[in-house]
Amino acid sequence: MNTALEIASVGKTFNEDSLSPTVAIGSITFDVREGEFISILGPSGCGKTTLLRIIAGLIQPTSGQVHIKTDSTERNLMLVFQEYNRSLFPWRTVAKNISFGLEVSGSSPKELAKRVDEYINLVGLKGFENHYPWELSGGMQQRTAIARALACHPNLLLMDEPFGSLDALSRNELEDDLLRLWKQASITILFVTHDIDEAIYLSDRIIVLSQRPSKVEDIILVELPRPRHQVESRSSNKFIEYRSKISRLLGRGKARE
Amino acid sequence: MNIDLKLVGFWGGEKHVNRIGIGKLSGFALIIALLLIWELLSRYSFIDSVFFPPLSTVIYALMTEINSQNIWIDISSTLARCFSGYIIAITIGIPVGILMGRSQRIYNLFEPLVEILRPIPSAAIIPVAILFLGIEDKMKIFVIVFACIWPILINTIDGVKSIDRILIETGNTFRLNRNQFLLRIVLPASSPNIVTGMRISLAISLILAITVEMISGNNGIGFFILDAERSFKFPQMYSGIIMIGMIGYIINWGFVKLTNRVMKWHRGFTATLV
Repeated sequence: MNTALEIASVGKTFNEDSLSPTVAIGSITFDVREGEFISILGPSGCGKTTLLRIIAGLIQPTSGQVHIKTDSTERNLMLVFQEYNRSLFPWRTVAKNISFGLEVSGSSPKELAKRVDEYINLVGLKGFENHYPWELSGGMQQRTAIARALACHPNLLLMDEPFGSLDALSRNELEDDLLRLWKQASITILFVTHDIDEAIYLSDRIIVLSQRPSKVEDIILVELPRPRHQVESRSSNKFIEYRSKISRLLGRGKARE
Repeated sequence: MNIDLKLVGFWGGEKHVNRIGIGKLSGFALIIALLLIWELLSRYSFIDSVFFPPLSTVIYALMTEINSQNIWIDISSTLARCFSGYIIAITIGIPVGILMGRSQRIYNLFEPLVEILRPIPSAAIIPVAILFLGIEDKMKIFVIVFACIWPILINTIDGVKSIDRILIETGNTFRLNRNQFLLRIVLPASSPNIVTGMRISLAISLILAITVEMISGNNGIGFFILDAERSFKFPQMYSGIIMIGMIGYIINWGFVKLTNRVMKWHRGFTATLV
């Protein structure tokens, strides 16, 4: 399989010029293959979000490089934030939020209407097209944000703890929906989370990061059969093995500080 | 089961829920009461009725004026000045405010100037404006622009500076060009503040239009009021004041109606944040 993303010795130091620079990311290297579902897992404050923001091009790394392989000249990636209520455009309805990326890239009105309709259906928001995002529940808002990102047909979808502020039930529901969408759209997903179970449940591989200054502690290949099932997958022996392994990894990371 | 709902009012006592809406009308009742007092005070000569004619006389003068051609020329020339200045202030204030809000360099360049000019009472620049621009509309509109621009500018800067970081980053992930970013993210996101500034300036534009019309020229409601006073036509003078009050009320009402529709999202959105 082709490589979709290469992270080569990426490091990030904040306040570099000051007397007390903060090394957020020591040096991180890993590859992501096309169509993979990769989770980045690590203790809070380990620079997961920083890494994602570097990949998204929102901030520059202090050292190292990010290569994004894509067919077109534009790097076609989208980012879904944890803070859906701050990321959605409150002045736009659900449909208008989803169409935003298409509008600015100059899609024809016909194409736009078709694709908005398609993604509204895909994320199960039929009937809520003309609602404003703030009129919806958290789960529905995050669905809107996911649809808005997917409607741009990205090769790479970056997700920053997207389900972190949802209740457990909506969370499981959205995890399954995300897996379904991932398969349908055949995209690459890079998913940041601090929830071990969520990472195992969703991913092909899990990049486990250490405490700050972070580096790759281990890369876990998750060989659970797909399609996964909230009850069966999570209660399988393999799942529990993975969980213990990762817990130990993260625990060791903590003890080192 | 019987649930007794009691609301605690402003003064801590029990508040009676008003079902027929008298609460809303109490403001109008007060106005009518004051107008009645005016009529009585002046009719029974508690106050010199030459300077202070009874309300009925003023209303009569108002009706006569409204039925004449001339007052409409005055009203329209006041409104024309008012809106010209207001629109110029908006066209300068919003773009400059957005630039100052977005670029720290531009902000550093203009901020001291703004802070020095802003506290100057607009009436104080009238003599300077007359020196350079004469006593006609150019000067009048300039003064209105000078007065109106600050609330719009300051509120726009505030609005732009306080846009949520996540919203800005979301915009960045869509790889917008500069215009798209300003028009589709920055402008709508700061529009609640911009509208606030525009509303303040709307009232100011009318105040300054009346002021400059009293300084020079021979038309406009400001001129009409001053002219009536100088020719001892006091009922007309009061009718002019009432007219300008009504015009101000209508303009503000229209503005609020219009912006409430456009900004419907903002009310709902902020309500969810508490």
